[in-house]
Amino acid sequence: MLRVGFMLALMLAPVTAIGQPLKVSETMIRTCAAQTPYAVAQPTCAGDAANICQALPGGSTTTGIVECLRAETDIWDAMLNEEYGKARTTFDRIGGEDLKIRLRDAQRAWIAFRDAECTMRYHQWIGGTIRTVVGANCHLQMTANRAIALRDLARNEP
Amino acid sequence: MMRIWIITSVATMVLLPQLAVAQDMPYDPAATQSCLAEMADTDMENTNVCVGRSAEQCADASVGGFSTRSMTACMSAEYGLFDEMLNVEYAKVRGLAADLDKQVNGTSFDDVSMGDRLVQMQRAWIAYRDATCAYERRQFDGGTIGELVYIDCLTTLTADQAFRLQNSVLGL
Repeated sequence: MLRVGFMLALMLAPVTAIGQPLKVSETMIRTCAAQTPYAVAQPTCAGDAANICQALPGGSTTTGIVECLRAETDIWDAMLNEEYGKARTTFDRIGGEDLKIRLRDAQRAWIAFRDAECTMRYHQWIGGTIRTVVGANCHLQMTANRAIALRDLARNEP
Repeated sequence: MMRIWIITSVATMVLLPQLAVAQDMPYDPAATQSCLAEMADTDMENTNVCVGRSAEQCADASVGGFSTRSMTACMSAEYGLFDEMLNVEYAKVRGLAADLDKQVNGTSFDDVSMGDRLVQMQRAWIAYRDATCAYERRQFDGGTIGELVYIDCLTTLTADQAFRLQNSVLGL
């Protein structure tokens, strides 16, 4: 498994000037989430780790910028899934099946909204290479927003 | 545009039958509006801190003071404020999308216009709003707290969407 993961990482790693994959600091992103207060919709530090990543060799090209944005999005996405899982566990205890189904429906509706929103933004810039940056940034900001919202929802436990 | 306005207005009417007859509800949008005006100059990214300012003042000043009931009535008025703002911002973006569609006429990579993409996005948002707030209300099992949670959820998401449209008017 580790070996497969390693091979995949090698295959997926963007080729940079010195052959290093573009990385973001997971600690920095998790700290950003932890420091985002309750009920703040948009963590203002979302995107900071991607910005730092963009200063790495190869990080300032359009491909590099998008790679950095996606790397940070992956961490937020992992946190989103963690929070979603926690919410489901909580509702198992307090609300049962009905609440879990509603949570799932809400999450599916959010995914459709995210896709419609980010597709629209991408297409606003269809004539230029910036479109991929705009699309990737949209996914990053929306995923961070949703991860925090799910975290806060679970805190609303009656 | 019209359609969305109707949908949200119907939602307001169904939700808040008591609003029309609410007496002495001292709601004044000034606190929220002045906060928004101030944030627009200094901190455009955090305008959401303004949401609920007027509702809180209103609940404090209500007959009988701050309660779930007074807060629900006051937050309903706040929802009206942001629903209106959302409609204004949506109309602006709709106009800009129409301009963009004229500019790129014939050069677009596919057949979907920006106007249609905007409508698709807004419909998806409405479905997301409804599913999210239905779930939040259910979390509190439909009691009086559930009603407050529901209107608070609608207000928060509506304000977020108004700000999102405002801040991103065909930009990054």
